[in-house]
Amino acid sequence: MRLAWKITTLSMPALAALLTISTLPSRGQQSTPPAPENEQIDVGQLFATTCGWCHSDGGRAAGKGPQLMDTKRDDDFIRNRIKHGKEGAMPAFGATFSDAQIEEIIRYIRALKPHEG
Amino acid sequence: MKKQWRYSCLPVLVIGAALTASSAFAQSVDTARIEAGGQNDWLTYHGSYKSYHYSPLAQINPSNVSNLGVAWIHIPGRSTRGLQSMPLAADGVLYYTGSYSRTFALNGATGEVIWSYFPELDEALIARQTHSPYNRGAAIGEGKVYVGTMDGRLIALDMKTGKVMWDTKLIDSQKLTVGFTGAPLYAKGTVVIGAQGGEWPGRGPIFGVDAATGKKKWEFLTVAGTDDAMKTWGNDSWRTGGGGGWMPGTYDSETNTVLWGTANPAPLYDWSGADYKTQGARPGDNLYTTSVIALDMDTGKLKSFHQELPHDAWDFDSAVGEFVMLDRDGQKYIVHPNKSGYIFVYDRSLGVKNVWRITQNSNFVKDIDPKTGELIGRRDFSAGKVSEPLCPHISGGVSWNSGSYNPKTGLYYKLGQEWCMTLEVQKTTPIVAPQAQLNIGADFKIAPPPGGEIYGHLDARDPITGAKKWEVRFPEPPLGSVLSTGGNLVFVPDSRGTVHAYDADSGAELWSHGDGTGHQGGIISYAVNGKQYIAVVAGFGGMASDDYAPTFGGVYKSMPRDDGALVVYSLR
Repeated sequence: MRLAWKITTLSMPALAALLTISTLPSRGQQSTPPAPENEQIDVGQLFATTCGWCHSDGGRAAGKGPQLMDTKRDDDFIRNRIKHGKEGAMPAFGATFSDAQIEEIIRYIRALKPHEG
Repeated sequence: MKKQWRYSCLPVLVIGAALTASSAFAQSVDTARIEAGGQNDWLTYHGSYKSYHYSPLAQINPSNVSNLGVAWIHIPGRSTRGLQSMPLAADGVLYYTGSYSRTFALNGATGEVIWSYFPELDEALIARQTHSPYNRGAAIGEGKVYVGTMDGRLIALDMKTGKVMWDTKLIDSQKLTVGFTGAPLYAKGTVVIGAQGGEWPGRGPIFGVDAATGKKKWEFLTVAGTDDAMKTWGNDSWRTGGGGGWMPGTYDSETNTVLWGTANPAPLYDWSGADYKTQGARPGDNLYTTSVIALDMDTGKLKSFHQELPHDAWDFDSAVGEFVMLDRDGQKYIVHPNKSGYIFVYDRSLGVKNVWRITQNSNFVKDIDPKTGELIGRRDFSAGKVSEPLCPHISGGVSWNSGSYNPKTGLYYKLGQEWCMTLEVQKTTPIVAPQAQLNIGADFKIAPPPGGEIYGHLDARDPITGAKKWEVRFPEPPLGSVLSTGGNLVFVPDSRGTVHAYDADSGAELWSHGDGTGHQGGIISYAVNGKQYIAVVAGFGGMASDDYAPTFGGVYKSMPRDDGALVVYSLR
C-alpha cells in the first residue's frame, strides 16, 4: 500500500509561491493559470516528481542522496536540510514549502516502510 | 660547420615561430577560422563546427606518449559538483570555465593567469536549483569570450582583458528556476545558447544573440514552438513543458543552419500506457522535445527536424551536442548520438540514413528502424511497478559528453554505458508552474543489467554503419569526453580519475596517469610555441556521478564533489 500523506494546510506565502503566475519576458516563457486554491499536495507524489531523483524508491533506498527510511537523523536536522539544502547536493526548499508542509514531509519519512512483497 | 650552422639557426626559427604563436590575440577568431579548426587551437566546444573533438597535432604519439607528464595545473576554486567544462585554446591562450561560471584566460604554456572573471550571481536562486551550479564551457569569437550563467544571463567578456562587454538577461530564472549550464556556440555574428529544460514547466527556449551588442535576435521554443507542434501536446499539456537545449550544437556554414539537440518532455515518465497519443500526462508526440532541429542562423526559424523519440517516455533525450559532419563517397552525413545509446545518422536535411546502437543492454524499444528511424516495439508504461528493469538507466546509454571522430583512422571513438533501473511509474498532478523544480513521475533505483554487472566501454566504430573495430571496457562507466589526435592516440579521462591513452588503431593502452579525482568534462589538445599539450578537467559530482558512491563504493566513497582542477600534460 502506497503512502499518501496529503498536505492540506498551506501557509499563505507558500500558497502564493506555489500558485505564482510567471510574468515572463515573452510569449515563449509565458506561464500558466493558477492552480485551484484547494489544491492538495501528496508527499508520495512529491517524491515521485522531485525528491526521488536523489532519494531512490520513494526515499526507501540510497541514491544520489541518502536513504531516508529508518534515518537516524532527528527532526531538526531533516527540517533544516529541507529548508536550507546542502550546497552542491540538495536544493533549498525553504521558499517552496511552508513549515506545515515540511512537517508533513518529515511524517512521511518517519512512516516509510519497505514495499510489501 | 655547415651542419652546425643549420642547427644553430633552428632556435632562431623556433623563436620566430614561437613569437608568432604566442603573440596572443594576434588573429581574430571568426567563423571561417572556427570552420577550419586550425592546427594549434580548439576554438569551439566541439573543436570545430565539424564536431570531431579531434586535434591534428601529432607531436605526442605512440612512440613517446610514455613520456607524457603534467606540465601545469590550475585550480579554479569553488568547484561545486566538480568541473564539467570543455576548455578552449586560441593563439596560445587557454580559456575555460568552472562552477558558478568562473571564467579564466591562462597562458597555455605555463598556466599563468592572464585574467579571471567571477560573475556576481543570484546565490539564493542557485541554492534552490537542482542541476546547478556547474558550467560546461564558453564560446569565443569577435574578440570576446561568451559564457552563460545559472541565473539566466549570457555574458560577453573582452578576450584580452576579461572586461564585461555586455551582459544580457535572457531568462527570468527567478520565476522558472532554470538557467544556462551549457556552452554557447558562436558563428556568423551570432551567439546561440540553449536553456535548461527537461524536468521544468517552461518551454525550453534556444536563443540567438547578436555577438556585437548582446541584443537578442531570436528565440526558438522547443516546447510547442510552432502551431503544428502545439497540436502534439494534448490537453494543453505543453504547460508542463520540458524540452530545452542545454548542450551546444553546431553550425553548418553551407546552409547557414544551426543544428541543435533538444531535451525531454515533463514528466519524464508517463502513465499513458500504449495509447500515448491520447492518454496520459502529455498526449501526443510532444514536439520539439527529444529532437534534433535545424534553425536558420539569422532568424531562428525552423528549417527541418527529426524527433528521435516521439513522446519520449524514458528521459532519453537528444540534448547531446555532437553533430559529427562527415563526407563519404560524395554523400554528406551528420552523426548524432541519442542519450538512449542509439546513434542516428542523417543527411544534411536531417533525413534518417541509418540508426545503430552502441549499448548492449537496451529494452525501452525492441529496435529503431535503421531506414526510417521509427521506434519498433516501444515500452509505454502504465502507472505502477514496471516488471522488467528499464535499460539503459536514466543517466543514459551515452553521456552528454562527446566522443571523437578521427579522420585519419575513419573511426568514431565513443563511450557506451551499460546500466538499468527499477521503476514505479506514478500518476501525478500536472506541474504547470515552477515550484519544487523537478517533474519525474516515478520512483526509481539504479540496477545492473540482467545477468551482469554495470560497466562502461570505449568503442572504435565506423560512424556511419556502426561496425565495431575494437572495444575497451571499464568497471564503471566513464562520463567524460573523448579526444583523438593526429598522433594516432585516443584519450579517455575516466570516472576513477585516471586519464588513459590508447592506440587509435588497436585500442592497446599506451599510457595512463591519475588526476586525483574523477572526470566528467572535456579534454582537448592544442599547441603553443611548437609544443603540444593535452588539457583535461578533473572534478566529480552531478546528476550522473552522484550515483557512483552508493552504487560502486570504493574510491568513489571519498571522492569530493566540490573540487576540481584543470590538468595540462606535455612531453617531458
